[in-house]
Amino acid sequence: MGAGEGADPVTSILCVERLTKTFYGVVALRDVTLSVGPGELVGVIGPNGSGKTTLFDCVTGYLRPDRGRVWYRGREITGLPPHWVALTGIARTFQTVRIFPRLTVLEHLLLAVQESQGDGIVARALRTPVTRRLEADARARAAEVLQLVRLQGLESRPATHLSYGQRKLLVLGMALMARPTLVLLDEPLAGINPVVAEALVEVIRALHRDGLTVVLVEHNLRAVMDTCQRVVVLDSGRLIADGPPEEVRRNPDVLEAYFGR
Amino acid sequence: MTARPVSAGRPDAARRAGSPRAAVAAALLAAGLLAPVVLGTPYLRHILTIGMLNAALALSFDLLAGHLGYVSLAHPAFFGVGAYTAALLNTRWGLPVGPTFLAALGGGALLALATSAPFFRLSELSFAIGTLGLSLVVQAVANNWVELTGGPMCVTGVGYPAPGFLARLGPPQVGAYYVAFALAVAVAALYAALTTGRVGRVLAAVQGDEVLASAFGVNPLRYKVVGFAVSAAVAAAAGAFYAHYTTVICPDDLSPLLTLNLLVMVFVGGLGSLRGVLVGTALFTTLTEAARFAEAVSQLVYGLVLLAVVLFAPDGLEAILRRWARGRGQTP
Amino acid sequence: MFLVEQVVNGLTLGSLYGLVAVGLALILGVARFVNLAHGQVMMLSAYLILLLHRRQGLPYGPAVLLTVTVLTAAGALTAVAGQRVIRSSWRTQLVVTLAVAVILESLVILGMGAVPQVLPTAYSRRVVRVAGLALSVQRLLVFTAIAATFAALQAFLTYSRSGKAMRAVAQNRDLAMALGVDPVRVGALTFGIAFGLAALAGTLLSPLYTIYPAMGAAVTFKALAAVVMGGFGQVTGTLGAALLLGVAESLAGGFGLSVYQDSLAFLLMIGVLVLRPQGLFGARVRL
Repeated sequence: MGAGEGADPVTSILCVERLTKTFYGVVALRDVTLSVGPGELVGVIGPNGSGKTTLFDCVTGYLRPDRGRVWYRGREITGLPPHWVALTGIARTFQTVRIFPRLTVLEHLLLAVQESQGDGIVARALRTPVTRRLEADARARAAEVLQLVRLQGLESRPATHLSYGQRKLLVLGMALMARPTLVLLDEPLAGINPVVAEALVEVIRALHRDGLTVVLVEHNLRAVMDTCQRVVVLDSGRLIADGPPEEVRRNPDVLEAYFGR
Repeated sequence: MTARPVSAGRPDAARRAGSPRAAVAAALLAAGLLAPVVLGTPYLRHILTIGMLNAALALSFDLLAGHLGYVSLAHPAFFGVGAYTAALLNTRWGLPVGPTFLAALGGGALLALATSAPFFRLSELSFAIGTLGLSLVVQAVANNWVELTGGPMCVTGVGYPAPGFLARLGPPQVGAYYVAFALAVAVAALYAALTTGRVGRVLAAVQGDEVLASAFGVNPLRYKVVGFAVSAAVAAAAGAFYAHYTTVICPDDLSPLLTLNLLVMVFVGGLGSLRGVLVGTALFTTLTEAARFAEAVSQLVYGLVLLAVVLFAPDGLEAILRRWARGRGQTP
Repeated sequence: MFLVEQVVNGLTLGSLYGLVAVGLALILGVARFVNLAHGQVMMLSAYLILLLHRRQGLPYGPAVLLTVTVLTAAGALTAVAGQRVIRSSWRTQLVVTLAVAVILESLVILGMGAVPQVLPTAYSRRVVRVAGLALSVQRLLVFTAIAATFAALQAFLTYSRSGKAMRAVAQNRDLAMALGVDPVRVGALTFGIAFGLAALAGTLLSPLYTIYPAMGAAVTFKALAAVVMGGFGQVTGTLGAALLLGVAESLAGGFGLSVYQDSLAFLLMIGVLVLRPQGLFGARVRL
């Protein structure tokens, strides 16, 4: 899907229509319309403050947009609280790497899936057979994900003992635990060394090959151009380009936004 | 408060029967069951009974303070609501001693549910201020609504909690002890169930980073409200026991200073740890009975102890216990 | 006439809450610190002036000045010495200040006894008639002093360099520090002002009421309720809420509802939290 085709809430995985958000009169997003089809790997780029994270926050319920609507697989999710959005099958990561100070690596992964498994507080407290079976399922899934994000052997470490790069891998692993349909990654490559970055890009490519829909916000232009089949450019809250990397690279508006007049 | 994984992450083997943990729990249970038989004097039995009551209160307080990060200053209020509910239903409307506990439990939980929406509305701060206010209001009602509570004249003649089937064991105080013991064991089991495994993991996540937790489908408010209601219900049940055990309940029994005692037990022992809180409760109960000061002096001492612990040893005795266990080569 | 009297009484009571509450709001806004011992600061000042004026025979005026100066200095010192606690989690702040409140109160009980005491001054005995209303000179003094204090505080926050620094820290601590504001100095200033305001409450108003060790605890909660109702950290909103609370309590007392007087602050606060969590007076801007 290229620029100008507009939004189609029915066939797309994620569809954002004329989304607008202002903070105390400052426009963070203005009439952004975007739709992401099944299995796409989309990169969102733009200068600092162009509204990339605001877009994620509006989609996942952390911010309520002033105007506009958000659909996920044909269902409107505008204004739902974050935990509802998460349970519909959208996983996200945060720009600043956040972890739980009192949980181990394995516990992070288990936590990331258990709310979608549906057992209630009472069943959990009583450790009913259902809860124990779900916990076993979660542990089996965690073993797979540990392999995938290359953190095997570290599962019983407190997450606070991980390096910055390992934390980014853990956060990606958490996002994958509940087998989401759509993953939103906020600057997955920022601030990590090239070796870990390479590993992360590999993981993202593998996920894409397996059919997962991925949207990533990134500062590292080269990585986005190399990895994504479609690039969306935001500038001052407006969507100024949307298309294949080579096309976007030649777009005069993009050149102006990045390199000035 | 140092980073420490919740026990949910430990290998399951550590919780299986035969592990040192299970052995300690079994030994404690046996000691608790045999205690009133071994300790012959009514005074020692009384101290033990109060210790069990303190344990139930301290654990319910720590469920919120140690596992969700919310210091509730309303524990005296829930204790009081439970005590007055049980005492009034028993003396005015003749409800027998057993069902009064259930009524108290329900009353405490309902009050918590009704107030949780505004309390959790803003931050830990609105929670602290709101709960402080609730404790003042409940005491004011106990003092001023004379037609209902008797005001400063107290509610007297509340039924003693000695179940009939325990009558053969000895004097009624033995029966009352076993009621308190059962309460403490039930609360400890509840505490363990809610702070480990899948629930404990969510509580640790909510306390650690609510925003992050909600990205994985956790509804932080739901867990906070449940934690608050459970904590309140337990405090109310403890209040019911207190009213039955002393047979009198007065407005002064719900002094906001009860919170100070709970803070001392929990912080001295170790915030967020079953073992720590139990050790803190045992120490507090023994020492307060051993050294009876004038009220102002004991307040001064508790205040100073609490200040010293929070500033210089925020993990309490539990940190020392853990270091010691690690030194002996056990898993931390 | 009865109604007017109740309102005047309420405004007096509200001024007491207001002086303590505005200090709490300043500390909360600028230092992100909640002081559960703030009412005890007022209580200490009441006992200090009791010692200075009644026991040592220092004239009332100088005794007020000395007390307020001593507690302002104590506030600044607290801010510098207690930096670690001031920057800690809410939970630690609550527990530490609660412990301090209990310690201060029990020390006063041990040193001065728990029996309520009175502090008559030359002004509290003299009565003037204003429009048919009998008012003690002390009460007029209180109103004048408080109006002057808040005008001065408002001017200080708006126009002076230090006041602007305080507001800058309240709005964006990191940015203010990056621009060269010294957070320790601002903290000392804030705590000094807050303690000074509480001392003013203790010295000016205690001649109208009785002095007893638990008076601080009672006022701490009322002041906290005013802070919540005023919108967490706003000076004018907090003062308005405190005056409103004082008048409401006084009217409740006047109409024979004194039984519910103590619960009023709680009920009003809950109402505000449910209906207007941003505070009674709307605006979301702090300070």
